Amino acid sequence: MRADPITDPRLRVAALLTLAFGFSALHAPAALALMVAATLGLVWWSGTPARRLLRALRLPGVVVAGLVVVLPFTSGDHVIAAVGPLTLRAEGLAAATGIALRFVTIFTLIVVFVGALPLSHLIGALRGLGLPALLVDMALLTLRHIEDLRHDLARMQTAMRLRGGHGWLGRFRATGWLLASLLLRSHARSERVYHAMILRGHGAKGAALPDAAAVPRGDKWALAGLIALAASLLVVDHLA
Amino acid sequence: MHIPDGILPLGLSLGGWAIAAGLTALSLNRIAAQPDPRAGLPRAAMMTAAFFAASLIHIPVPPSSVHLVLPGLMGAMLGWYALPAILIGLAFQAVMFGHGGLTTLGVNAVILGLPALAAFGLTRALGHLTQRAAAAIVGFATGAGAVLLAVALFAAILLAGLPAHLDAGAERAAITALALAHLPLALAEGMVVVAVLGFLRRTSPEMIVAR
Repeated sequence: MRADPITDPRLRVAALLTLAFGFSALHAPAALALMVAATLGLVWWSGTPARRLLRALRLPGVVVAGLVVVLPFTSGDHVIAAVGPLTLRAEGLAAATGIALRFVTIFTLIVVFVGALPLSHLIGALRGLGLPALLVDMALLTLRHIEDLRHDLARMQTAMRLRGGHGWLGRFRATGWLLASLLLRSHARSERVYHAMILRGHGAKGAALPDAAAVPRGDKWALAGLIALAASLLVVDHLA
Repeated sequence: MHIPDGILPLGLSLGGWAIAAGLTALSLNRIAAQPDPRAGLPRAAMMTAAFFAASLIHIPVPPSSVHLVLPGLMGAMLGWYALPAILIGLAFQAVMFGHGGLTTLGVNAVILGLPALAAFGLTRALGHLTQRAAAAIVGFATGAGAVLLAVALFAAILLAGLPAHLDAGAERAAITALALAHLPLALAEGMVVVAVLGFLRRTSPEMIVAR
């Protein structure tokens, strides 16, 4: 197991955003090839298991696959092959290849940099980067409710199925009522949780904020290196 | 209705982030002007969790099924809290499921956030109508209209951002296919939102507060 490229969550987010936006600007074949090589290097450096990456890619990959399959046959003028009514076109093929590579590499970056980070740590990192307090509180409370709500939803859906008896149109009303009941129940709980948090001193004026941990020197160098990498790729793309 | 990473050019992605940041700042400003800005937080967090979980609610629409998106309901129930809530929900979806994207987070927030704010405006303007039929029409317009507006924004941004140009015929076909594919979702969501708002109006009307 190799070490994470960066250990400080705030710098991980900064590195992720820098590389993701840098990668999204690349189009030239040489720059795309270097982008893939750099991503593979980061996967190796972080020790991210390939199986975890492939499992994470399964669902979002399907969404992009539709576009990637259609583009080479619908976009561009230069026909490079024809099979029956389908004509494979150079511009569409190049665009589809670029989209697929950028999508896979940026998604891989997300898995490498924040995939193993608990969401509460990620929210803490965003707080450290200056996210407004109201958004931080909303995100933390949301995190607190997601599992409860999913659990309640599964239970209520089972109960609705067991009751049965809904026609096709009645199903919409039944779903609406299910959702409304779920919201009512969750709202009462949400109010209770938030008031309990306030009673314990959350958000009180003068309450001590957790000390911002010092950033390890190695992390700073790693971030600088990754920023330089993104800048180099942009230069290669511009020159190619 | 989420645009993944890798499709849009950098300018469009950054523009999306800038617009989303501007709309979020406006929303936070309006929330701060309320007598108790934090009073709406528990409801906003609860609705964000519901938005996140909405993809788990499948409604059979032959020959397939659709899952709820809820921008209209978010706007009607959360008002100015809707856009920050959608932004957080989208960020969680992108990190946890890879649904949507990181560079496209701003664009996706605009695609769902603007319809939510439009739904908020509609509910604020016409939400006082208490006649059953009128309330149902407003509820349906809130749910279905928000989805249709989101689909229109999604199609426009996607077609404008594709790195290769589609010919006119392919572009028309893509827009028609997108609209037809999402029409059942718009109708389903309109009917579900009518039922949700009708239920809440009878049992807990204070929850439909579009401020």
